[in-house]
Amino acid sequence: MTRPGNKTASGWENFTVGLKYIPYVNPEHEFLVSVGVQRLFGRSGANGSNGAVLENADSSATIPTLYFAKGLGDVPVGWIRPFMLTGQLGYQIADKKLKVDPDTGTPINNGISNAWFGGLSLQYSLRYLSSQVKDYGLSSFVNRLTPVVELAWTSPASKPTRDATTFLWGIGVNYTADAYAVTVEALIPGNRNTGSHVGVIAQFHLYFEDLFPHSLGKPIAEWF
Amino acid sequence: MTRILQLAAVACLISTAAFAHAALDRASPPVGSEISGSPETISLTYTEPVEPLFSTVQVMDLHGQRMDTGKAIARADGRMLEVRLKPLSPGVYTVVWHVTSVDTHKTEGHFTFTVKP
Repeated sequence: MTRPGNKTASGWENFTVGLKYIPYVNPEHEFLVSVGVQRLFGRSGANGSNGAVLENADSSATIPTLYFAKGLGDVPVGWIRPFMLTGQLGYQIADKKLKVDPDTGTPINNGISNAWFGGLSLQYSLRYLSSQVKDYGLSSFVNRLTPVVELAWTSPASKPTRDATTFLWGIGVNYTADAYAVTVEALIPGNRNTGSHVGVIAQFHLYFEDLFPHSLGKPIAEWF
Repeated sequence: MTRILQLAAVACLISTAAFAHAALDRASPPVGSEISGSPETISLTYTEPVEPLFSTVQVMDLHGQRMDTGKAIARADGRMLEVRLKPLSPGVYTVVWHVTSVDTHKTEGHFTFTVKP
């Protein structure tokens, strides 16, 4: 990670695991709601000077999260149907709360505050366009692209805190292959707390179930 | 900490769009197309092999009457499903498909094509 005024940092962020359940699906209206919880393990990320830049959290945290997704496939206008809106709202519960000196306001431990975070994502699936609306004869590469615009938001939810409300835009494109996906997005500050420079983030996801269809890709019941 | 959460939030949002189950890659007649004459078959090509025993392709006219005959036959190493059709008169036809890919994930979709007068 490179940020103006800081060293270039490398290494792992804090280890996070998540559990997700989908209690409601409406296929006709392409709508679903899911709930989940993420557990962030403090002090599991990169250490040293680079770790400091990466803000390797000292406190673990639990983050209950609500997700939704709505496709516009039920709209009777062809070019609108490939749009999809997704969103999430989470609440971070810190294990170790930040404490400050009541007289000076200076932090007296390295805890963190509770926080709200959420976001919205608007996507346009060219795969959906070519397979459900109209095949314009675009190449298979183009049909695997999904342009995306996202807005991420965080806000402190307890006092004292060292954080501030932030908004961050992401504008980019996703390419989904059979066994992997690549996403590249420009990160654009949404308010003063997210700086004044445009950044970039790239993600590379591997699908183990497609890479290893005869082991990890099989139902657990068939492993034995 | 806040910045980490921001990046995590951005990372989480796009991931909802990214999965690699069997998607319809091509169809013949093409999705949303207008064709002249009645095709004898319809073929659907997927991005990965599908299990024909757990996959269906139905073609219906505007009244919901089935115009496909028989079960879908797998071709091209399981990536293509082909179904024979009854003679189609001019009109709009809806294709509804449900497939199970070889990694057991289910996907579904529908589209229309038009037979011109």
